[in-house]
Amino acid sequence: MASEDAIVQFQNINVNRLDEAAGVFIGNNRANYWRSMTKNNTGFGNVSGSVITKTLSIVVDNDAVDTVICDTGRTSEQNVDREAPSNQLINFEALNINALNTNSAVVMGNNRLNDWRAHHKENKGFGNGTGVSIITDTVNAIDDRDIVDTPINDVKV
Amino acid sequence: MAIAINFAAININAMNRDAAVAIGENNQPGWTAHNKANFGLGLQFGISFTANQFNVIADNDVIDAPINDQDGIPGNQNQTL
Repeated sequence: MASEDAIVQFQNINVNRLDEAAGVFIGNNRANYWRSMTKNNTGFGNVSGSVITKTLSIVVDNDAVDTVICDTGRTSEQNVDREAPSNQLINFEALNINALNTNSAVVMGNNRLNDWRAHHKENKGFGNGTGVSIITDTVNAIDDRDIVDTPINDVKV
Repeated sequence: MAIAINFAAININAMNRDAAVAIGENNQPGWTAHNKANFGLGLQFGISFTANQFNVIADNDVIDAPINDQDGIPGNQNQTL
């Protein structure tokens, strides 16, 4: 094949979890200016295959202004394109992904995925449980009284 | 531009908000996702036994989670065969 050709060959890609604003990119891709801003409060974290009894989890997060997210940065130039290989060949057997979280992508070929953004705030008294979990006699309290809670400003020119 | 993509299987178990599986020649600019969430007891996966739970969420605000997302993100693409 000529030098301007791109060949991607693989057997398997196995991904358990793609977290927020993550990706698997194969081929000629542009994913500029991905942004992710997060605030998490978790009283009791995540458990997996656990026995949890008689717990008290308290989250107190009283603010005047909580979690200001101001994402007014620049965006990418959409019109200026890098020259892609004229011929692309992508061969694979299997691609296994267990979980794609918010703003995550699995792309292959010739792709442009600019300016993906994800902002979030989360309060959890008790986190996620995976596997075999036994959770008994727990008290979870979240006190998140604010004047302004999570203003998200995401304005682009 | 010729793109040949050959595969046997793609297996995805779970996709969250704003998630994509894109194959070929794609132009997908400007995806945004904003959220706020309160969980007393989080998500349970697998075999779960939960009993005697007491979950309290007090989230009193004057303004709760204002989201301002005004943007014009152009997406230009010249289709080629």
